[in-house]
Amino acid sequence: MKLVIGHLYPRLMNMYADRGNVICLEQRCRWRGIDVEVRSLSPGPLHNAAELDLLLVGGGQDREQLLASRDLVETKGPVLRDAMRDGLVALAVCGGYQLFGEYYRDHTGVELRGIEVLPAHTAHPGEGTQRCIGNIVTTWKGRKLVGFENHGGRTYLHDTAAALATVENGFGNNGEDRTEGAQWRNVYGTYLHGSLLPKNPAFADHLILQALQRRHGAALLPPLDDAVEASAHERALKIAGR
Amino acid sequence: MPVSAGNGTRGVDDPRIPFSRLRRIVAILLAKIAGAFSRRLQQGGGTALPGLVAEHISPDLLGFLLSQVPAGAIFVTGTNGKTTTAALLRNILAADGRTVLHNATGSNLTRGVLSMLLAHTAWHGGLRVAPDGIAVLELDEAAIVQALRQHQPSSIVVTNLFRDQLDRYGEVQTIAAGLRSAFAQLDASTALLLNADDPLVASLGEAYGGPVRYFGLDDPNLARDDIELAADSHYCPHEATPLRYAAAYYGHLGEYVCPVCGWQRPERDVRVTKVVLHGFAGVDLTVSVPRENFRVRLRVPGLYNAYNALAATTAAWRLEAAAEAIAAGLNATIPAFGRAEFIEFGERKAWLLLIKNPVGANQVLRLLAAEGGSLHVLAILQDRAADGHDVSWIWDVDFECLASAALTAGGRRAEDMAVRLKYAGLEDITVLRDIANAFDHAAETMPAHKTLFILATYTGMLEMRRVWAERGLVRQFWEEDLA
Repeated sequence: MKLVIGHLYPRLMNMYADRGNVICLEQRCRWRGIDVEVRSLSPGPLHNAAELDLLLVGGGQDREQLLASRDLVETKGPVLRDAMRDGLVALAVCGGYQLFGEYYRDHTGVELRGIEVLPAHTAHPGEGTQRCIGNIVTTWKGRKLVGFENHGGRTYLHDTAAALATVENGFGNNGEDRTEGAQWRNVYGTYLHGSLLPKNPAFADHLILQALQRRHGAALLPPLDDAVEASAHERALKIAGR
Repeated sequence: MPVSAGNGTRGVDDPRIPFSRLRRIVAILLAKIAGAFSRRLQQGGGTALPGLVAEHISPDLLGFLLSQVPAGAIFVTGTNGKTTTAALLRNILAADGRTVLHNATGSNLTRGVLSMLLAHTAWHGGLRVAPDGIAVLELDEAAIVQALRQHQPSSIVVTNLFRDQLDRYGEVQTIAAGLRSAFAQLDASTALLLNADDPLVASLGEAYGGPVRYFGLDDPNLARDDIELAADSHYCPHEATPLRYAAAYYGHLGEYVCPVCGWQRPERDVRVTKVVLHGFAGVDLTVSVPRENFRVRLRVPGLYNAYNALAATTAAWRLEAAAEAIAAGLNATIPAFGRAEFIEFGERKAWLLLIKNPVGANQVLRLLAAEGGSLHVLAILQDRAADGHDVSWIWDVDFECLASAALTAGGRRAEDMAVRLKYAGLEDITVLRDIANAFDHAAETMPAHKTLFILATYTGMLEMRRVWAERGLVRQFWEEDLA
């Protein structure tokens, strides 16, 4: 069995070390004897999108995000949207999450188009407003997710039922409605860094299982010894005050 | 508001505000009392408290005191290497026979600089300083902007700009923009001394009205084909295009050119043309300043310290220090506390190495990897304000190179470090949050005559040293400062 991970803009959107998510998925597959290939997807045309099983994108600086959004909307957008409609499993964090929505309005009011996969839009409330920074805890399917958020933009879901998780502690999408992240089919958007997946192995395995089911029809994932991950998860909960 | 020419201070002696003089005296007296209490209560080195107190009462005190330094001030800023660069420069100037005021403890906010100056200040506000006195001041990327509102230094050194503690400093581009606009307020009397190999730092010199001098590295033997993944600013500041690197040294430092507009690494005034790394023993450098070349053995290790030596040399050359003094000062410098500090305890040895961001940590790991053999490593991860609350950055550090090391994880976020090491493919990691316990475990499980390598974030490094100081292995940094 083999899975192909597409790492979208590893150099442009590398600001918050979301590379940890790629490392995590790669290792958790290898430890189970699943072959993994990681492909770096830089700006330019994307061929063989149908070969991708997992797609990851992180957060970048404003300037880099502008470059990424141009490529994402104009070059890769249509192909990726089709693949995601077809069930491609994708995780977009922070800036990447914002670009997966309809649009991002920056602090000067300029709108950046997104690829309109997630039913959400993001607006920056303007210069001088507080960024949403700090440890965050959410509830996803009855489990806790832990991470660290750092974003200026506020994301609003067009239907709150599309939220990925509920905020227990922290800001989440906008600091107002207690929603965090968004979900459509197998596509997930979130503000959680940390990196997210290594400290939330259940969520990592959820993504791997979805990808395996789609490609190979596998329905079970052998368990791993997650004692180290669990203790980091517990520690993050404690430090976040939960 | 206009800036007065030279090493000026703005408006502090304005006769319309006679109150300011009284304020100053009150500020100085209260700051001195606070410092005395702080030391007596063993709350710390008193390296920040007096300045903090004084700053609240008399916000323009820093400018007032700096205006009394006869030979003016040199500000050193940047993400990595500030403390070491300032220490190297201080030793060069001392070797050149000058009297130097220097915030040696790495307390690099305006309050830290003020505290140092206050130790040399009489109650009435007179600075006690030799007639040839010069100030070498390390300031972090935000504090320098505040300091420049009060004082215009003779030179500003910018070492590099890397991604660092995003929850505290923000994006690298934002920091560069802040520096650029602060520099634009200066008159042409201040020289900018910039790292040519860092595209973002080099771009700070472009629109500047005053003198700009560049330093850089030219040793093809050290060049890598491509920049590392943790690199940040590898885009042309003019075109939205990745720069092409003919040589990549570390992080995004190297010899670059924009394939679209042709913008490239500026000509260097001061260069290092040959680097020979000798692991923890140091670095041999061939340094080239206009009309002179010299060779020197640096006792601070790693390629990153070759850059710090370059930065310090450039500032010293600008001050017309003799080449012999530059070589002597560089050679005399041992690592600043905790940066690469060596101790012996019983039959064992340890190196304490500060790590605080991905690019810097990768440099330290390169030093370790060059040691070879089976390593014993203690990795301390903390998440206090001075470390950055967000620990995500460790996922951009290439811990994979520690394969086959015996590993202990310590500190407030020891568990996060353990997870990172596990996913780097490393096994048998002991997790002990308490730093003294983690150190003892790592040391006791290590054979005699071996060396323990301790990687620690800022507050972890301080706490490790506190443990050692309690055991009489080192002196506290404020005691060293007075020595």
